[in-house]
Amino acid sequence: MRNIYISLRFKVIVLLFILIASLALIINESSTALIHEKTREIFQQRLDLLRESIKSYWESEKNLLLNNAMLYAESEKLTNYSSYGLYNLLQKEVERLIAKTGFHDLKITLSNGMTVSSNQSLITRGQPLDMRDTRQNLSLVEVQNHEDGLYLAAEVPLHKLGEFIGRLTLRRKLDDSRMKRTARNLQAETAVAVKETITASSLAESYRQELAKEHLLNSIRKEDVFNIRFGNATWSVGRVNIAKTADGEQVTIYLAISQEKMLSLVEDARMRNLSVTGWVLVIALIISVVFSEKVLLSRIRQLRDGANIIAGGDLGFQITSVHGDELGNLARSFNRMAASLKLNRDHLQHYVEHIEKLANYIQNILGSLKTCVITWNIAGHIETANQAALHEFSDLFPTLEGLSLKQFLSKLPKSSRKEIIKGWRTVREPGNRQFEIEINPGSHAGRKVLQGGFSLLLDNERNPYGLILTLSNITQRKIIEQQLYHADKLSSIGQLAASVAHEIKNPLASIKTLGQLLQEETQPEDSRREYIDVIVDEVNRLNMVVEQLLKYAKPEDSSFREIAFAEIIKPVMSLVHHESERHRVVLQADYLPDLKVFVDSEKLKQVFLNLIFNGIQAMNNGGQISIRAHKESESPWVTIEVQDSGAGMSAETVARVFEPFFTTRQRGTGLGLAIVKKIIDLHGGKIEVSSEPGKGTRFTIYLPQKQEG
Amino acid sequence: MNSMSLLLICLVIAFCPGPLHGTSDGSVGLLSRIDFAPALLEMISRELERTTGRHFSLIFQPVEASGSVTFNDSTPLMLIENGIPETMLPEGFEKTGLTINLVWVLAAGRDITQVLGSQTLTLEKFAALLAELRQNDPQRFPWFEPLLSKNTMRNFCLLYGEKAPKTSTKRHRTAMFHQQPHAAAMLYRAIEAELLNPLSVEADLGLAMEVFAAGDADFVSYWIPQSYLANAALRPAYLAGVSFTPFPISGNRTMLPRMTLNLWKSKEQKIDAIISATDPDQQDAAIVELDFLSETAWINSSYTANYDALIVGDL
Repeated sequence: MRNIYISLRFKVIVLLFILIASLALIINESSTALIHEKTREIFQQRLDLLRESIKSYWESEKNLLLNNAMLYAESEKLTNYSSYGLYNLLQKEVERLIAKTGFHDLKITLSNGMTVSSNQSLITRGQPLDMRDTRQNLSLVEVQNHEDGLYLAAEVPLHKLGEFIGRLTLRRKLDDSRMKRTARNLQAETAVAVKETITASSLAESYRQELAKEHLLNSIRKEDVFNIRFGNATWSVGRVNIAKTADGEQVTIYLAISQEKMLSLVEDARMRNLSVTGWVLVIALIISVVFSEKVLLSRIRQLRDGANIIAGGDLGFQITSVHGDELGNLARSFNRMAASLKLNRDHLQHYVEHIEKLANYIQNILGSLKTCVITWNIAGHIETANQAALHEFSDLFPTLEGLSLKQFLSKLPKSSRKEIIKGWRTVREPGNRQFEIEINPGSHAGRKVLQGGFSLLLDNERNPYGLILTLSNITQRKIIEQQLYHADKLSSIGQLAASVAHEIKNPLASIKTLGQLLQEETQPEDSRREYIDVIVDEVNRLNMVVEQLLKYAKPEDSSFREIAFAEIIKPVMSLVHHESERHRVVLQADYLPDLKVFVDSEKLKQVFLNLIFNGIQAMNNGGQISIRAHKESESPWVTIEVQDSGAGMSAETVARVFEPFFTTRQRGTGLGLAIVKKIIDLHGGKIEVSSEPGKGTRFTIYLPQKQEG
Repeated sequence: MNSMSLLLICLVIAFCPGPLHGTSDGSVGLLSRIDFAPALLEMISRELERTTGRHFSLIFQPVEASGSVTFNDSTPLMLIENGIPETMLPEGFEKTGLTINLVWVLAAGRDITQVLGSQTLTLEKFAALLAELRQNDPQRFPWFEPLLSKNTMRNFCLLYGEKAPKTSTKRHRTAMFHQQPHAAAMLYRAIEAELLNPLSVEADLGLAMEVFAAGDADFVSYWIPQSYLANAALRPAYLAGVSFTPFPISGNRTMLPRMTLNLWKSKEQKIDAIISATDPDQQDAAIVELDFLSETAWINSSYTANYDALIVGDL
């Protein structure tokens, strides 16, 4: 499963956030539950308080009514008008007094039986009051139940100068508006009931009907507090038996509070809590970010930067801000680690320098060796190869390291492969078997001859863990050996040819002399003259052959010097210019102007003259002769090619082309190419020929570079 | 009701939009010793409008018994009680020639007016009628007077005589009220006989007019423009059916105390088309012209003795 990268900062923030958020949510839930419980408790207390309050309210209503009645009774106008029979004015005055007061009516019953009331236009005359009744002087408040509703009435005596003159009654109707006002004051819906009837209420009509049903039922249950459904809402209702009417009927006041308000308060509290919790979470997030940054991540970043600095090589780095907590311990450990690393690195540096010196020393030895040193590991792969090996095999392999034996052998000639395998197999045998191998680095580089052998690579315990192949380039030595061999061989032929030539040359000189005498003596029109001319010509040709033979065999001094190739080829080209044109042969030379060769220039000119004349004579119908000279950068040879577009040669001819006196032409001496080969050999070079009938012939000459020292 | 209260009431009447004035042509100051009730001020205003053809707002400026007066300089017209010395008047005012006569009469309620018909009310008839009314309804008093008003007391004294200073006269306990020798004794006896409402001794002009308007009294003294006596149509609607008669005095005579208000104007003020109306005299009644100086002098010297006699019965 692929690991998903989550930053430590993110983890710390999330962890802190989850912790604080969980805490906040738990506190939120707890506080909401507590608020809910307390709200219910307060709600219940409020209902109880309301039930108590309504009693006080009722008492204050009674007192207010009584006080007002007493205040009216003290009105000078009322007493004067009552005392002095000004009933019409009294009527107007009571109407004026009661107007806009909220009281239902004000009635004055005088001792003489006259009654003046604010809600009656007529002044009625009744029976005089019983002045013997001592209750006439009493003040009282009572509830009066009439058909049109319930009244709270205050009745007080009316005096004029201390003399009882009548009674004043002030009434307030307990109607819906009064209940609504009470509801406003108490902040609870109110209703008043007498017997089985709700006489007034602040509630809406439908709710009042529900309450009336409950009132009927509750007259049996006698519950002081109960719940009731008004519409979709639940209300808590408290009942208080407040008073009895003048007729002895129980007066009950109901107080109703909607639980919706309580629930909405709880909801408000919950929402407020949620809001606070939300803010707490936001602050927690900010604190988490700040905490993670300031307390944790900055210090971790300091550690990371320190690690990077150390990774960059500055092992002297030390964390300066080290606290006493776990990260501080980590920082101290980090500093110890850095110090330890620095010490170890110094030691290691010392060892490395020593080893490097040693390695360089060995490498220098191996690199300085002219001998190729190649090591194979136990698995059969080349492990190391010194500079000489890389140089010698550079044409075959771009690199040697890692090559298996099979891969190494694959590019070597068959004979060399056999030698190497043989050496490999006999490496454990006593005596170091030496062998020679030839490698052909390329078509223009000539062959190399290497000599060497295998030896075991031993460890400190003298156990073999690989092989060493050492090879020395002996190409020059082989060339010299070959040149010596040819020189020896040619020297024998030359001596033979020189003795023969001297023996032939003298008779030929006599023959020629005699033939020239005969020519002089014979007229041109003499038929014998023709025979004489033939004799002379043939003698001349024989002389030329003898001269060439002597030239071939004669050991001449050589004068080698480094000379520009152009200085050799240009005179040759000029010399054969007429002959080539006569045979309609085009000459083309291709070489670098600064190409230099280390040769005997006169002899090398002879080489090119012979090769070019051979080519011209091979092309009866014209053609082209190309001369190309070049040198490979790392090759010890300068390669020169002379190629014609003539008739070519058969394989048999090719095989014998450098043999003396071998010629395919009728009047040839058979010594031209033999001289060519002799001159090349004299230079320590080699010449190769490739030809096919009909496709022309190509001679390739390899001339060694000047050997330094 | 003191003078300041009256001033405030007048101001309210003056500035409140209502039937008293539609579009006001200005204001007229009213300078008098009478503690005019709002109803009486309305009657004066109507009379002024009738006589001038223009509507003015009245601003009452009472003259205290001490003779001091507070003028409102912003009123270019003033109704000034006859007899007020010109030295008390502001400078630059002159009489316009227009006068309004106010007479002090006995007002009888509508029911009484029907009973009376066209017969002349004599003092005896008045007393008998009061007794009859009392007898018919023992719960109410048929007569009410604003005896707290000094001018009312002065008028009664003027008509029925005053108690001689520093003399004590035995009242005739058996005699009817109208047979008493002077006004204080008469009124005391009337109260004693429960003909005159006892509250009268504490009542001012305003209360008296309210009582009468409410129907709680059949008789009450009343200040009215003299023109109302001859032409009932000039009266305000709420006085319809009410009869005004000169007070009966002994010897089947009647007396009509009259106070004249002169219209003064500032000399810069121009008033066109002033209608000078002359009220016909009540031939049957002896008109008593009230004079500011003498009335004020009486009030200052004799009112207290007479009122005390009325209250304590020191007759």
